[in-house]
Amino acid sequence: MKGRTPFTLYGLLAVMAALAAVASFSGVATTVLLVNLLVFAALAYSINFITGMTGYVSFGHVVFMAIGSYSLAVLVSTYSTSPFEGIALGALLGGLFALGIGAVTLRFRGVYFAIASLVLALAGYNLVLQFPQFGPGGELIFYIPFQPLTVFFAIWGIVVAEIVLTFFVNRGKVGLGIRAIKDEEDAAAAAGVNPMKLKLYVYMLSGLFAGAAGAVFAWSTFGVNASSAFDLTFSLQMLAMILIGGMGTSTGPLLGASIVYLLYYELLTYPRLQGGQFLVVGAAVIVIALFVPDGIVGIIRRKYPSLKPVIE
Amino acid sequence: MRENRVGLTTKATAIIVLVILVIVGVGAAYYVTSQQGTSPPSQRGTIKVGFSISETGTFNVEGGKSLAGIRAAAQWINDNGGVVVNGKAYNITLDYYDDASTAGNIVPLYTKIITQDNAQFLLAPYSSGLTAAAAPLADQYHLIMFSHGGASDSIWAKGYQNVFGILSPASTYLKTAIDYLKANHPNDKLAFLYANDAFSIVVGAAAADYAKAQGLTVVYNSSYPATVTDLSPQLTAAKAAGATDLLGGGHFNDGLLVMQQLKSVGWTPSFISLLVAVTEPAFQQQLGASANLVTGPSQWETTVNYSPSAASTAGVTYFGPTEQQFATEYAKFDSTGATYHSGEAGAAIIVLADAIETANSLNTTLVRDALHSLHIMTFFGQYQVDSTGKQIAHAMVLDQWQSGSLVVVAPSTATTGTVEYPYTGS
Repeated sequence: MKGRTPFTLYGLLAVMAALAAVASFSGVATTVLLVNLLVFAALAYSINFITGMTGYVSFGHVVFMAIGSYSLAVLVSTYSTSPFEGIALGALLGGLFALGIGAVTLRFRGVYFAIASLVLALAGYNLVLQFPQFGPGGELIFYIPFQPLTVFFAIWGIVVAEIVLTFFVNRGKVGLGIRAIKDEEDAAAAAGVNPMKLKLYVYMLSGLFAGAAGAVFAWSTFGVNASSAFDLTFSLQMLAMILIGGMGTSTGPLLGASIVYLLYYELLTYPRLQGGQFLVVGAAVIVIALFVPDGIVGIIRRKYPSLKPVIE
Repeated sequence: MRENRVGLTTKATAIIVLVILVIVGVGAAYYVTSQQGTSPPSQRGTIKVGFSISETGTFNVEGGKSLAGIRAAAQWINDNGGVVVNGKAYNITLDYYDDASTAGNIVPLYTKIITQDNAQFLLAPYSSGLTAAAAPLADQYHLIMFSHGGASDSIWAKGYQNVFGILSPASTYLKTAIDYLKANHPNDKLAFLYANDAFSIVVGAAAADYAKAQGLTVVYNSSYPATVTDLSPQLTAAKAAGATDLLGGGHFNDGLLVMQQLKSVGWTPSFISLLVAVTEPAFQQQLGASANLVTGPSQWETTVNYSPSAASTAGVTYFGPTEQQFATEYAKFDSTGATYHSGEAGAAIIVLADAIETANSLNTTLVRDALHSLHIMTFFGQYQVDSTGKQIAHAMVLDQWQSGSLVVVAPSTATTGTVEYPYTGS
């Protein structure tokens, strides 16, 4: 396994290089569109670490995104720091909170973990409203110059890091252990795998990257608001992206995010199709969950076995 | 073989020619139809106003009303000579997209509106949060933007050069009610109880401060979660503190809850003023007699009396349609009637038209200067901004339910009736 040429990684990095070129040399509207696409891709990769790899469905994953959003908003609006410091703090706090929360909630399994994560998001929303540091009613607005290309390369760097990490986690010993947990946790434990340690590790990665992506999201929208920061629609979109792309894979999150976001944006800008975004994505999720649970990556790998080394 | 090949080629050529003819025919028909649609042929120029609006998502109701108001105002301008600059008339054209009430959609849509659709002027989206996401782009691209649905005071504290407010900021929502109490019942003791969402908390906290500054006695000041299901402890505490009047609220459901639980805690304040809920017809429908004499602030009502004569009395110029003309035009776009969201959004177009004519130019800098110097009245009320672009002349109106009708009772320039005091609970 170790000796295999990482064609998938090369391919994904080539795609990212192409996106960087497009963002650098195209108009600002395209750059901004790519920023949003990559924010969604970053979120999809983040939830892929826990839900895609271990099968633990994190309905309340938006809470880590919100932690990142508030980290950046507080630093920029209150302390006038650089947005990059906000991203660093968002990532740090996202990872730390994931460790703390995961130490308790990852002891639950199946639907109990999903409900616990959901409750966390609701609790986070109400908690934010109690602290004036998060703005009146949890709303912090800041004004910094609009720099689409800088924001693009910030989120681009985060997604590249996620791709590389996802690839090596999947290929390494950790990946083997995680797949064993996903298949049968008790059997994995009996075989010498430490499920709690591995789950915490990927959950920490998951929280860290969701925090970083949330911070970039706040940067790109010039503020944060409690009701939208903890909007569970984000969690559902993240889940839809990895389900459509391919859960636990290295290619699936980028593929799923591209399909879901571009479809969403296109439907948004065609007057007659307004409001149909979630209907279309929902229908796609149902069809894929029913007939091809391993997503588009799974379909390709089954239909074209020769492409298996290229699309993992 | 050769004959066959020739035959196939001829057939293929015929098909290609046929396809081309069909395409050309359909294209020509489309062109002719589209030309017929733009009647009558006009020598006018166009002014493109771009914006996103919430046609779907959380703010779909407010967004729909705002959009109808914008369309009605633009149509009225176009039907009444357009916007005249240097002797040439311009029609206002609208370039808009649904933002699905989502902050993440704002920057991509406004970038498209500005850089690809080449809008010349901008309207902000509905709500403060979405306005905050769009405002930096107005400054970056040096375009005027009107905020018609973002009431948060913080928008005006960011140093934007090109963002102008049409509506009264959140901090002034309860000012008219407090002014009434100060003038008529200065010895009342006030309780402020409001939701802790971004909008209500600014309104409530600013109102309590304003009441104290006016010398009124505030005996209770507290907020509650927006999702509250029981307010009896807070109402009991306010009553125990000796409050005679209750001001605050947040949204429709908690407004109803306040009214229902006032009965259960046995408190009948002399004066009640609640945000948002009171101006909804459902408030009166659901509460019946206990809604009678309850007051609530509103940016605008269709019954307000802003008119050329009111403008003359106030010493300012009146511009745009009268209240009745706006209502007639509005009905073409929304048969369910205008709300204050419709009024404030429509007024943005009217003020823009006046500013362009005053500047006699489409140049952003000149129009911006005009917007800073304008002090006018429209069907929505007065317009004048401070140096930050924050609205300072528009007054909130105070509504009161009186025998099943919503009556505008303050300020004096807009009233259709007088305040009835005290509230009796039935």
